[in-house]
Amino acid sequence: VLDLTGILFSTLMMLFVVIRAVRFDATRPWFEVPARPPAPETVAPTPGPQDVPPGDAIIPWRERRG
Amino acid sequence: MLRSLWLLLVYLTLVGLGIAAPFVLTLGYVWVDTFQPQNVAYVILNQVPVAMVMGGAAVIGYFILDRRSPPRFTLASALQLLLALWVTLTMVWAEAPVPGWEKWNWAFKSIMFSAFIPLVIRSRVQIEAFAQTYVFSLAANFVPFGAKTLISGGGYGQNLGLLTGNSGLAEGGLLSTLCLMAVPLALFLGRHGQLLPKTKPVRLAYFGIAGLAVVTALGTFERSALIGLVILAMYMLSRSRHKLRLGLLLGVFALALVYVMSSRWTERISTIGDYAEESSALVRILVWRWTFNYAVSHPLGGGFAAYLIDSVELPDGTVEFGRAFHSIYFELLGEQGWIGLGLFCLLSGSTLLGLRRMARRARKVPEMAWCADMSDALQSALMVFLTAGAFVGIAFQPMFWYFIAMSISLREYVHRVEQLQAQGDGPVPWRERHPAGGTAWQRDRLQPAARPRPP
Repeated sequence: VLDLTGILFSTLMMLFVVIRAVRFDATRPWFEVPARPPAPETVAPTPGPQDVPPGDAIIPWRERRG
Repeated sequence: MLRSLWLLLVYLTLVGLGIAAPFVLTLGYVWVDTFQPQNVAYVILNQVPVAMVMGGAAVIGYFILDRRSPPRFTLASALQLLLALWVTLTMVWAEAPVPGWEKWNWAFKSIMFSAFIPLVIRSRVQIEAFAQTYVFSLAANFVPFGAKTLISGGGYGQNLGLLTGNSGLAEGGLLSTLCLMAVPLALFLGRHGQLLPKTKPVRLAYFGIAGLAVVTALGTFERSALIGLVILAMYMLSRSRHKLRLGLLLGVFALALVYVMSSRWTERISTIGDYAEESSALVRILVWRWTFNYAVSHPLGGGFAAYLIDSVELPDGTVEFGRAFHSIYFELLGEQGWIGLGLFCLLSGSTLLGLRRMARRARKVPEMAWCADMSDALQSALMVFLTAGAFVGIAFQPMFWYFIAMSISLREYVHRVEQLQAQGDGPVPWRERHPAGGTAWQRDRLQPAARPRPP
């Protein structure tokens, strides 16, 4: 029984892995180039006052007081 | 009968899948070579040259359907081919030509097929599939062996695996070494595997596989297994990022081992220190001395199966003839001379160094962490082979050569990725400027993943 368990486990897992490998091999790129961190000049600027939605804008104290 | 039919179905499935994706034929050969269905089946497969058919199909399939993106011709590949040439040349002056040619037949294939594998196994998916196929093929032997050891306690010379006899995987020395070599690979697959769903049960299953491999190695009662296990633990500890946690775990495991293993195992292992009185160890030392003297007088070696002409005199005056070398180094020295031993050491050393260098580079890039971890796993496995193998004559068994092939495939993968990355820094390559152009494989395979586009 243990021998048969070993054979079944081994062959089933191996077949499962090979079938998945065939599928992945056809759909995924062979060599995955890691993404490089973006260059400093292409980094999006941090949100400034002009990007803040009107409702959330913090009105300076002087303006609030008029 | 059902077992034989099932194995036939598995074999035919691999051949069928190989027509669609030729690399499967190479995996099929690895399965046939490791699992050995011809020795497990009772009908059909045991009457067919299954390895020859699968191996031939793999080579033909590659040259007709799959000759894409070939790897570089590296130092390791050159050393493999030189060794294959040298072992053929030493057969010209072989001391025992008839058994020598028999060994040449499978040893030559082991070396040549390992030189062929990096041509076929190129992508991450293929490299992982190769590792998975190897581990699961070997699991057919160590899963029942490990389970039986847990029930019965194992024993020296007891054949609890699938295969019968006293050669190949039925031999304790080889089986225990291969099981220990599979441990780091199984742990790596549990962590980085993509082909099986990444779930906790799957990860635990790989731990279970690694555990059964260790139990099997210990269950063979081979002394070389304990040496291999110590080296494996030390090497894994040295490469681990969590040294304290792993160290504690290994300490607990070592304590449990002392309590759990039977007194028979302790008695057997304690004979390591009695090498001067214990007959098996003493004969080894005498054979090694004979081999060294033989290599001094015959520096080119005596060809395969040269051990058949040795003779050693025991302290009680009895003389023993034709004792095996019981060491990969003395096997190479006696059979292939200083040149063969030098080529083997150069190949092993350059592979280990190459893996270390590659891991150092890969570790700096998070997406390449799997390459660094696989490199550590392969190094650990090779270290086990090179230390435990000092006491078992298994230099030409295919499994060591598979690890060399896996190492070359992995290093070539990293080299290709680095090359693509370097191209990405410079002018845009032709195939990206003309996505519809180029050959089919260039369009399909060399597309970089997730390359950031300029805004």
